[in-house]
Amino acid sequence: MRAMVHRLEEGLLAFILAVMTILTFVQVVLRYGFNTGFLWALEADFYLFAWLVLLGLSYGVRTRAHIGIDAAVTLLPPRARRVVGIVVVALALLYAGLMFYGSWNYIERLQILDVEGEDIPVRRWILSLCLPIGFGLLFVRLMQMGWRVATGRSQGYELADEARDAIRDVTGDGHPDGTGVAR
Amino acid sequence: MTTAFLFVTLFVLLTLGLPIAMALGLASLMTILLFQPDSLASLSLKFFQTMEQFTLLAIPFFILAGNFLTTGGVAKRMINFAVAAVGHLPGGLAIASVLACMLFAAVSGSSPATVVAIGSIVIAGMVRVGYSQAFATGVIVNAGTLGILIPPSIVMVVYAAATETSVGRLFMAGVIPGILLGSALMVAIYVAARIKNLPRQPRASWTERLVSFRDAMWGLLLIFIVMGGIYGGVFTPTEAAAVAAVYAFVAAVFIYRDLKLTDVPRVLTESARVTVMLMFIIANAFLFAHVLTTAQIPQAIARTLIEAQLAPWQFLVIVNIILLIAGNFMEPSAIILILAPIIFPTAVQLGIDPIHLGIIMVVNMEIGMVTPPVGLNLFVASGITGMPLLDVVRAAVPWLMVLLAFLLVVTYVPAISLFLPDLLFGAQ
Repeated sequence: MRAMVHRLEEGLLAFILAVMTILTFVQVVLRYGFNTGFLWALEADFYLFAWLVLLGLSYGVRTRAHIGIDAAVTLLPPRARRVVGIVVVALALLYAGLMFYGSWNYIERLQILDVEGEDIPVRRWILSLCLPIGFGLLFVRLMQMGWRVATGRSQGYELADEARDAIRDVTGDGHPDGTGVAR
Repeated sequence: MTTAFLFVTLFVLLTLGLPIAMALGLASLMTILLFQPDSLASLSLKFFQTMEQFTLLAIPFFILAGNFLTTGGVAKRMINFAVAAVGHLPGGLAIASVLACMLFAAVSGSSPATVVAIGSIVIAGMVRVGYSQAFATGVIVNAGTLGILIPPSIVMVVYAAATETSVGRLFMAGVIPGILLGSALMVAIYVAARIKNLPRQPRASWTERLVSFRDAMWGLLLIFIVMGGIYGGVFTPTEAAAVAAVYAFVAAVFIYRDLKLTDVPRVLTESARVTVMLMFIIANAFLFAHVLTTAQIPQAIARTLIEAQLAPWQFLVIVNIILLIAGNFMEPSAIILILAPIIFPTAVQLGIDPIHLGIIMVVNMEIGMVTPPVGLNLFVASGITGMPLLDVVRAAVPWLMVLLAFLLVVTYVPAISLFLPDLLFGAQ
């Protein structure tokens, strides 16, 4: 079940990125080759990009993509480090919570306005739903991380290891959850 | 008061180890809730609107293009060509490594990726023919920084979005400095090789050179599509990036056959992951910049500096120092987004060209990648060679001097950056 949700998440992100790329490419070909194009392409690109980024936030937490500075924290003894870890997860939850609340208010305003996208005939509040969904999922993933820190399975906030990521991207050593790019 | 609160909060959050993106966002949210009249809903809208900037849409596409071509196979072909071209010089293998980094930088917009792709092959090769590991590693760590100076460059796209300058001009402005810095490193190696009597490779025949060039050409074609397309007005930089991504897919899967079709979804997911990480920082940095401008901070700084009758060169010294310090602690895109709104208004009033300022900022970011404590290239090099981090730092220092000297030249000779864009697009 969990593996299925993960694959769905990865597949969805890959799919959105592929559609954005192909859509933009086709626009260029149509305009340059046939002097035509889709009126709605620009707006579609924008909403696809927004959905990609917002749905990706929680995925980034799960795969430790978000970078930060741990130089100071790693100097602490394990117990203190865990306390700081819990505080930091709480702060991250505060961020996600505030943004979720703001997004929800924004969606409510759009519902009152009840307008459609400029070129896409769908209600704007539906197109913008990625905002509360994205921050809501982020909140859930952060809760899970908080649990791992509290129970001692993580030492602190799980930041990205950029150096390891960069090496993995090129050499193709597998990522713990199998998302590595194989070469 | 607002300013102090904003920056102190940011600093505390970063030190505690909150991810950069959320630290920027939370510091902004708290400042707004306490001092400014904006509602949370309008901030969500601001966050959302970041993705509406067509310029920033180039980022996922360039990442995707880079990931398709950042394979060992493409790096190996570029190295083969570089060795065939310049390997016979004294210190030939090291000089060829710099050339390979320059070529690779033209398909990849990332410095650490350049260090890994080129370094994991050539460092071992150099050690085998008699270079010290410190020499080999030091060269690669520094030459790898060319990834963000030679277009396409993600850091430049971010700068362009933050300051509303032209990505096309910035890309063109990076070409000559990129070639110049690469050449400076090569000359430094040549001199060191003469003194230390470093080995040469056998001279390659013209047939070998031609064959290796043809093999590397398909990767290099990418940069010509991007630059040619932008220059010829065929497409915008964002569209160029999308075309580059599709081209890179075709080259990797059908021409080079480095990737199988079944690998493509994983390349897409990984590119999405990096895109999300960067865009999360960028969107929150825009919130941060919004708080700054609402509090009129950049304007106040500009006024103070102008009233202090600062000469442009003095201002640039200060800018360089601030950027060098910031570059030691944070991710390049975040620094540019936080500092560009602060520096930009003053620079414009002092008559400094925005494109020139962009190149100065990028070169500073390059130096940040090879200086501790968070110089990413150092960590990556330590990871691929197994050398202790401190040894890598020591190995990088001599070549870092070349980078610093180059920074001075680029800062005080604007023509190096501006000649090509002015020639191609006309002076601004």
